[in-house]
Amino acid sequence: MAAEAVAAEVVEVAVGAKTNFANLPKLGVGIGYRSEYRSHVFMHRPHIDFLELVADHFFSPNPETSADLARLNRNFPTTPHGLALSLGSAEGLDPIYTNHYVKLLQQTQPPWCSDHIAFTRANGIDIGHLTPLPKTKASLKAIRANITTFQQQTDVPLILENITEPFRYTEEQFSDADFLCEICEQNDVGILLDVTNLFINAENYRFDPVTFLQRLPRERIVQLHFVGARFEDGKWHDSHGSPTQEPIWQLLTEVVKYGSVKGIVLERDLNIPDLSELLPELARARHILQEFG
Amino acid sequence: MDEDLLALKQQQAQLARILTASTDCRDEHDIAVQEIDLRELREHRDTLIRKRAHQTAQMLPHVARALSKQFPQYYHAFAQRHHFNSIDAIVQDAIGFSRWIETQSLSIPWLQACTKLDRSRCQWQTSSSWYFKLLTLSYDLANWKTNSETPNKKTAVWIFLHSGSIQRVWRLP
Repeated sequence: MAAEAVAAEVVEVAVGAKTNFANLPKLGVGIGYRSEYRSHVFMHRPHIDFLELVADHFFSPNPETSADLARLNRNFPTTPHGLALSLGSAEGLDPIYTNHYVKLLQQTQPPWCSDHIAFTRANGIDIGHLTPLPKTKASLKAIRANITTFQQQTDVPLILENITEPFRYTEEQFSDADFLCEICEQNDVGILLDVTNLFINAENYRFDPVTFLQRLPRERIVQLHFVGARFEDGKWHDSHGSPTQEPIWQLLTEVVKYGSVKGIVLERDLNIPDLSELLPELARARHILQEFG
Repeated sequence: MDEDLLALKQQQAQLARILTASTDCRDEHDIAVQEIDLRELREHRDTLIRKRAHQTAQMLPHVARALSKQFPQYYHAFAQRHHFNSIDAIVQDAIGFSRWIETQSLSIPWLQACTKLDRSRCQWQTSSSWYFKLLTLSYDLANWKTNSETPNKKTAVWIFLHSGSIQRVWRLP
């Protein structure tokens, strides 16, 4: 389908109304759904408050994925998490990807949806990875234009995730916290604070994560991600493949105390264990949310 | 477009090219211009190469299995051996399969065209979602009617037929 036709097909939504992020429903503690857990999520249903679905997995539905989506939505609150909206692309959004995402939102009617502060695509090349943006006014302009385009097509609240930065630009106009604050200031978006990513960036680039946290608008911190990180060759990496380390738990507690957290998601992608092995981590996160949230 | 937005666009295009480069970084001069730490950028590029290699190793058996169902006349013996988990075996068989396709009078023009592409091609674009797309594709392929010509199926078969190149490009073990 031609891009123009796709764009034309999308229903425009009135933009301008501000979301009251503090009023979003409290979902509790969930996991990032992976197909490995197709049956296990039902076996352990009492321990899982909600599921975060990778939106991209459901863009080209076949009978199997369509049935999965329907079954998951019937039995759990779900939130879609996009991987490649590429909100930082200076060339604009990909209308086909955006259309897929919007259709999924129409189909599932989630309380919020999410993607990343990053770019994944430029000049026809799909990088295949979340790539950091320079913290500059130009990046803010690109993000703003893309968020506006997206929000013209859906009224589902959008929250944005901080990514790990495998490299940094030497010429930047904003600090990490100020850049995120500017994004919130200029746009009607909430924050999906990946606590592990914050920990990794703070360790690798030597800043205090709690000072960073306290700069953020607390009512915008809607959802958290957490998982273990890997230390290798003198640097921390977001491997998504190990149990959560103690310093990350401590930081998560600080974020819950500070923010207006509605949902916490354990995001395990590698070395995926039996779901029963993750339950203690879900229980600990739930305890933190209940005690400090 | 604003001047600063245009500059960002150019910088992103440059970075995308570097981060998907299949060979040793050819644009080191460009990287320096962008004032990004060269060591960090090289490390990141190598991480992405390893990630793609891992994804390929996971995906090729799915595509191979799906194709074996579609072309039982070629794949019967291969399927019996159950060695889809060996990348070497899959690559060897992909080469054999593409040669076999060229000798057949199949009325699938695009499939014939796929086999004629330059197998030494060293550029391959990927996306974080291609792994998941291929999971879907392998399902589609399993239900494929031979006269179907959707672009996705073309892509899946192209990947399979060129898995030798992909193996080399992504430095698979």
